[in-house]
Amino acid sequence: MQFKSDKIVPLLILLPSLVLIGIFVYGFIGQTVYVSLTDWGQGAALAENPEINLIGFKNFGDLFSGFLNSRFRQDLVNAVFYTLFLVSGALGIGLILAILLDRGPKGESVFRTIFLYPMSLSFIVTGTIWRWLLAPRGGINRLPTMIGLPAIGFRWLNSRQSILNFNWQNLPQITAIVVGAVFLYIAYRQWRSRSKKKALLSLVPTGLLLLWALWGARFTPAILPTPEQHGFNLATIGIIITAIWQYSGYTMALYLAGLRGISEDLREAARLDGANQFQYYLNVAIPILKPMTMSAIIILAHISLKMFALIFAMTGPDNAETSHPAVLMYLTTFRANNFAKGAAIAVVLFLMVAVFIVPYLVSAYRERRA
Amino acid sequence: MLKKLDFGKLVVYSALVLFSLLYLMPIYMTVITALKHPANISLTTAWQLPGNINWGSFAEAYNTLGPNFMNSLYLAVSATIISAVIGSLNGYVFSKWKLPGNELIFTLVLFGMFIPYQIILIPLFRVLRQLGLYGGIPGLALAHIVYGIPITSLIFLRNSDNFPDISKLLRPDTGIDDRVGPDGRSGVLRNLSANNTPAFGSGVCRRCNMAVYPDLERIPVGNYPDETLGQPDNRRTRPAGRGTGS
Repeated sequence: MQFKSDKIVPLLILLPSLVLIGIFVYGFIGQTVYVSLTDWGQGAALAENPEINLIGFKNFGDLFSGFLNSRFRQDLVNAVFYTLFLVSGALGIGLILAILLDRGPKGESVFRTIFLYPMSLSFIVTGTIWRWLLAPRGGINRLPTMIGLPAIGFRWLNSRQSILNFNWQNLPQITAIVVGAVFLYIAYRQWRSRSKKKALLSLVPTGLLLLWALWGARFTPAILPTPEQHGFNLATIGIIITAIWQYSGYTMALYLAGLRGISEDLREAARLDGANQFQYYLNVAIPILKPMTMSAIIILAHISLKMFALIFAMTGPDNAETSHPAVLMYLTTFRANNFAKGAAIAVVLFLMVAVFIVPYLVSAYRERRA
Repeated sequence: MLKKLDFGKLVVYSALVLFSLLYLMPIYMTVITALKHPANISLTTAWQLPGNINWGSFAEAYNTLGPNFMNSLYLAVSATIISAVIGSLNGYVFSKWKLPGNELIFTLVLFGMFIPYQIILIPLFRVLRQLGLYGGIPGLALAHIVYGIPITSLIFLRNSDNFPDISKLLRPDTGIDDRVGPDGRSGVLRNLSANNTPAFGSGVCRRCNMAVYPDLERIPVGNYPDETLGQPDNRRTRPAGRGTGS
């Protein structure tokens, strides 16, 4: 009896949550994946019993190589740049702030609060304030006039300029070269760790990918009928600045906790070995902070891939320059009633987040089991 | 030597002040704009302090915001409390009752915290519409409660990991002193309050606060070194009888 209740009581406590999570997370993900494989939304989407047919991966094909879906492709590129700049910006500034505070200045707690408070605001509040600050003829652009300099003319949120452009038709080759480079690096690592057999094996995909990218690609049909330029839209800079302002306090807190966790002995040892402060941070502290960096990258990347409210508050849903797949999914689904295509965008977004989250959860799982 | 030190300090303080100004700039702008008369607000004079302070905008905002604010309150309070209750039960079970596949189930629950909500939006919309909950606070609250379960479970799991296992302490087969001492407390009680309660109590309070502000605890999933944020175990080395709870 004792044995039985030991297992049944916890199971009963967990059961409602497991059922809810099972339906609302896994069931719903399954249903969205199913919807993404149908044509729901091409006809009368909101009818009582809409006619829904399975059409396979056609929606995904349309998104990546359909003539009409260039906005999705630009949004995807935007999402990559949002992630890249938010992560690197917040990590860099957070580290600088943490090192400054680690020096133990007077009023440390005041400074800490100042850097951390943006995190407690919601994206809607932050977005509304910063939209006002980044107005083309006011706010930040007028700051230089206070010391007699001319006003800045940069349009933080509605610039039409785009840099780092590339042709979407070249994306398969670019991807092949990047993946090939990754395999090359893996081969190099294996060679260094003296497993030459494995290294040679890793060179096979490298060779195949590079061979195809540099020579074979000309025999494969182009993924788009016409060249299509995509790049980094400068109008996203305003949103990136706002997101960094909001989240650098979080990385600061994370890094500061890490720096304070380094034992005084280690610091003393570094000093005795003749390391100055700069060398101490570069060679001792920052390598120790690696786990914090990994956590921060995962959290920030998944926030920037889920970014909806900030963009919605700052530039609205209809501004294609600053758009994001999350915004486009909302428009496609609930304004255009194209549920199937909206679901397909959601699945792409989900897979992008999963790339960061799944390895992280797996490693956390192993850690807990150990 | 002294000069060099001062120079280093100067750099640190000026950098900190500069960053602080940068971080406070949006608040400054918000406050001074809120205190200006609407007619006096313009892009060119946005940075200037208000000539005469006008509190009228707050009254206006209160009138517009009032009813919506109550909605936020209903949603936040109901979703937070119910999520936290469910999460606390889950966290304790995950931490103390090692069911087969415990870690796997927990990881699968935790996954719900990270999904982009677009992936569940369409089925959620359909289900809420079928339940007749679409467009109201109960529907929103339901969604917040369900998608709040992963994070609250995580918070309370991390909390429960620092709990002493009460069930084991009270079992006779663990050989724990159960006799009543001269202070009128049993050995078990003495053990609990003297050795564990300080860590226990402050941990509970701190993390309960975290449950109320889940975004703050979104931060850590696992990688904090114990010295910095986890409860250090060295409190247990206190001499018995001196710690009296917190």
